[in-house]
Amino acid sequence: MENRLKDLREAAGWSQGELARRLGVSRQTINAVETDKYDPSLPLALRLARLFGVAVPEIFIDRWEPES
Amino acid sequence: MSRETARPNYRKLLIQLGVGAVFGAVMGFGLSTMMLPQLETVGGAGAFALASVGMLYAVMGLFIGFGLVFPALGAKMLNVVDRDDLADQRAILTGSAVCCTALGLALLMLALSGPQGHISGVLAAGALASALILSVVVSVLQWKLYDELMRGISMEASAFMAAILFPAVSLWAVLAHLGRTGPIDPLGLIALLAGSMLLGSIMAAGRRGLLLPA
Repeated sequence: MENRLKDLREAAGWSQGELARRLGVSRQTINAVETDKYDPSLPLALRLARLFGVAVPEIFIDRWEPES
Repeated sequence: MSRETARPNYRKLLIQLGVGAVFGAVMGFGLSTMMLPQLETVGGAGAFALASVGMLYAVMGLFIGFGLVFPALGAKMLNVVDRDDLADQRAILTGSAVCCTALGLALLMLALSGPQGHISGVLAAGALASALILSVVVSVLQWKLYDELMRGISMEASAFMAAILFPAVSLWAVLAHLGRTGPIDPLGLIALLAGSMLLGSIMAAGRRGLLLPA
């Protein structure tokens, strides 16, 4: 899923390792999310949103539209 | 929206490929010159396949272990960002190194054992049983150290392994049943199991981008 994680992380001045440590996950997890190779679990998405002070949809972009 | 990814470190990738090529060449040369005659008398193609897979595991384990003992070199050889990243993953990598080396050596011993083998069958069977028990214990202990990505990759690797094994073993069994090929060779079957586990892990890790240069 497309996301703004890298932008938010860089704006905070954190490395992937620093963000990983704050969230209690591995650096590979942050890298995999940033490169769209892994969609995080809901708890991790919520933790990311809390850490950056934004809502989950402001980090992850879902282009799905309901059928009318 | 971030669509830009960090530029891969191709210099590091070249070092990794170069070291891998040297290890592979040494391994292939060793296998073909030193062990091939012995393997032919022990069990033919199955024994050779098992020895090849065993050597792959052993070399991988030793490669990771070397990187952990010499972190400055390990940070360049292994797919980590730097020494800090290597230190963060030390516990998990140590378990992987120990299990891969133990399993690899046990498979090699098994390939060289048997009625006409050069290693006692009881010793080889004991080594494999010990390596498998060690792998299970380490996996259970390491599960707590894994984060959600690693747990997902671990389960995906098992799914890939099953997806490889089911058709491969079924096809082999069908052909053997129809008399189109020989019966399932015990050492070949173990080689297939161990090989598909390795292939499944590589596929699962590659799918999540873990094989790209850090």
